[in-house]
Amino acid sequence: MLQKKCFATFWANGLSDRMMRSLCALVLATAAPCVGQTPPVTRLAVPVQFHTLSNGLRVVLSPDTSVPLARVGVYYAAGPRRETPGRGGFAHLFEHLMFEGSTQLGPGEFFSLVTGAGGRFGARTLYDFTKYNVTIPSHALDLVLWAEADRMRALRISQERLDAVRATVKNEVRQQSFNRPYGRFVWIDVAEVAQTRWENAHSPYGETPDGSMADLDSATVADAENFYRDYYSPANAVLVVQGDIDSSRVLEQIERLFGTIPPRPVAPMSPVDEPRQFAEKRATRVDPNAPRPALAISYHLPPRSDPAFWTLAIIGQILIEGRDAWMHRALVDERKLTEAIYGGISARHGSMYTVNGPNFWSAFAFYDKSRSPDSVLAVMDDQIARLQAAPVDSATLARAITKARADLYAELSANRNEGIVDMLGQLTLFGDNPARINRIEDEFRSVTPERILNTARDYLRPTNRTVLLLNTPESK
Amino acid sequence: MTRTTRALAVGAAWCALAGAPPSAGAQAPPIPRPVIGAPKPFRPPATVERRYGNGMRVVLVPFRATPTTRIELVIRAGIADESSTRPGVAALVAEFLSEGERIALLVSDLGALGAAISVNTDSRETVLSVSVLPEAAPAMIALLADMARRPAFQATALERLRANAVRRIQLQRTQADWLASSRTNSLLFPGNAADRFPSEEQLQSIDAAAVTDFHARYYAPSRARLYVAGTFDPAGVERAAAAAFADWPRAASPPFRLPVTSELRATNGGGDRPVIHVIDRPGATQARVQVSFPVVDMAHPDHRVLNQINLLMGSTQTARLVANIRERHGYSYNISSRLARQPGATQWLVAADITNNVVGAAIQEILGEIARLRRDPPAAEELRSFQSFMAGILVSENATAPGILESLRWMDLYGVGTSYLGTFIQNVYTVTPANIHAMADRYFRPDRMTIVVVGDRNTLLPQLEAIARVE
Repeated sequence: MLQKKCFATFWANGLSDRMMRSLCALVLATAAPCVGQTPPVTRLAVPVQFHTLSNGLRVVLSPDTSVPLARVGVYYAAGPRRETPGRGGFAHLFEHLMFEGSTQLGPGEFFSLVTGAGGRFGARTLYDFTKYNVTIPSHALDLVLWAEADRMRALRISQERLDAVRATVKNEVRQQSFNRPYGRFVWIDVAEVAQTRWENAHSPYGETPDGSMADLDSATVADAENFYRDYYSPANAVLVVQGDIDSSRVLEQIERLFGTIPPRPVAPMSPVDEPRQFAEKRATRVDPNAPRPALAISYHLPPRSDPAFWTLAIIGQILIEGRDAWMHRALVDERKLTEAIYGGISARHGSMYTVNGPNFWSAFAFYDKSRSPDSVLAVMDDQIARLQAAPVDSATLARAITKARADLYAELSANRNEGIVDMLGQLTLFGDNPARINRIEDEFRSVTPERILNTARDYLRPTNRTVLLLNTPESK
Repeated sequence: MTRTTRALAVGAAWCALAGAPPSAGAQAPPIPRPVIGAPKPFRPPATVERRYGNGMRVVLVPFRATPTTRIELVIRAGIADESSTRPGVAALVAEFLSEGERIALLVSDLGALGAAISVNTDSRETVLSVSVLPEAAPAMIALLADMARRPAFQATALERLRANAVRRIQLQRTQADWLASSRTNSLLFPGNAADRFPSEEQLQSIDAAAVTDFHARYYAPSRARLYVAGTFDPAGVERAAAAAFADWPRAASPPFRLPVTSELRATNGGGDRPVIHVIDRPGATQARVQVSFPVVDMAHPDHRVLNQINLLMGSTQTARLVANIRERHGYSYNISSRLARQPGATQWLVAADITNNVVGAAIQEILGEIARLRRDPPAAEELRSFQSFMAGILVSENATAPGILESLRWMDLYGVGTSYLGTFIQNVYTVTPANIHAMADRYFRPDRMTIVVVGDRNTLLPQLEAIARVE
């Protein structure tokens, strides 16, 4: 049926056509003939070069000449888990302040510099880090490196700009959290109930369920200066440059622009590990905007270094993802209790690849008021019990692994392929190992039916979970 | 797949410089800002096109910048094809494509290929789109053909799909942005497909015959196009496409036609004092504000200039409305403008969620920026910066398989010609400040302006009445 072709074997963006051909030849010399065989399974082959500068900045380069674009990602290990009580939401507020002026850039000048060169930028605060992305025509890469180095070197924050940014951020919180249905569901609501340490339990937006934003109101310029000093140092950051680049020249530029930034010590981090949970937790929230109730079950996760973490990703594929998933079949097709089932690792905020500290594996669904939450929960529990009763068959496992691989590829392609930059940044932040990008698929392939059985028994136990019921205003 | 993501989004700032001293040591002499050279040329990826005897077209775009294969099957069957007595039927037919035991089994098997198919219906088209691992592309093409050509219209599914559609409508009606845009469309384009929102009763009344009739009439090879882009085996994909679609029998389908741009009507009674249409949402902490003007469609030459006006006004962080409303005043996090393109119903709009106590002030700033655009041509330097941005984003928008397919699809829909992308950048730089000024004057007349506010009426009324007539 399918033809075996070299291009399907590699997603080797970084290689020139000539190198592609020679690599292909190499593979073919050791494998099967190129044409007329069963299709090869696609494998990632992302080029990765990893360097650490003398000030501690970790640098990852990944050339790809397929289009004349360069992508830059700067990742600071400074997310909401670094915040202190009374300053919830500060990491996100600070993300906005990073555009308010640095050594040589005035407030907002970063924007005009990037857009004026034909680039686009974005920033995002996740649980364990804050990231800054730029995609730009490759001829203008030096300009972006210069600007990112400028704001890693020093920041300028005025009271006036802090006040304006605070007003914008509070509008963002209202819009995302309070003025839309399901704004806090799962990602904020579950953590508030299930996590025991403030660092993990508070909202990354800094708001409380009653609508208060007192923590944002009390943030000061001194807080910003301290946060920058403590967490925005080269040694607490990763720089990724991907795309149409000449690696050796770019590395020289990085040494000149970033390597000359004086080292700054990184403040120690409060412990964020969570104790083992021994009893099921239950909580109810009322969402004034929600047209229908919803139910979530969330289980504490193992650390991502534990094979069980990857096993739970596969379990998510078996139970939740796609129309062949067990919970979908049972809840949607057979019992008709809902029209879709959602969930997975770090549901509704980032993904399994963006989280390092304590988080959850969740399943959740929205349902009509005529249905009872107990009926939805019972069906979810039945499907988990199946998984805990006997090992899955090999076809089910193979299907789940393929879906997990497809999800990985989707993650890498996200945001116009900025996903690949993010993956390199995250793997470096979380374990100093960007080359692992090409071995993530192996994590999935190494999962066995026995591992699924044991992981389902160890982690998907009621005593490890929180059951969260979201009610509409009328059903309160 | 089904994951929902939530961004704690983008950073902020653009306004008067605040001269605070550096907060951390910068003892070394400053490194001068680099001077950048000329951009590299942008060449859109080459396409291969096939047309079968039944009228079906297939477009292949080998493009290794994306590691997966993007497949989009476009059927030109949309809301505009519905009869006025059957609103909602186009989307319901699209829902049916994934139904039936045979399809369910195939979709389930396709789960083994790691794919989730999304189906979308707009005013002119129903699009089945999916990204798959390259080895799965031929099998996926066969499945898409099966879905589009041989759906199982089972009566048992009808009730469930109608109920799903009703739920979606109920959810939409809790969302301020949907409420604002649907009211705006009703005011600007009455009778157009952009103004067709079925009621729950209308959805419940769609019967099996309406569904099968619509499918038989509009799901035809003459109205179908298959696009494949990204990493794939071209020969294998071509064989799969021919096997899946070349024998699709012709049908007596009405020819597909786009409407001409509707007349740009005055919606404001011709008066100079603005009118604000309010949708009451008691207790809301923010108001959704949408300010809209009808404009010409994408194929019209003026549209290129309108594109640049849109960027300059509200499509980037440095744009005038964002600099003013968000950065200078902090009135709104998400203010932006865009060209909402629909055949015969294209509009330029400004939308924002605004804190209750400053809604009036923010609307006045928005109207002030629009008036300034009509009054003064932009400075050449300002325009040049947005033109550079536009040239740059053309490359990044088309740097992925889904991105390039989106471009190819609308170029095809509007018939703008295949040279459009290749000549886009040089055309960007031919627009002058005088062109911008003339277009702003032509399209953004006060009597064509429509303002809709979704929020707590009692709280907002004093502010709104101070600046406009409130309806």
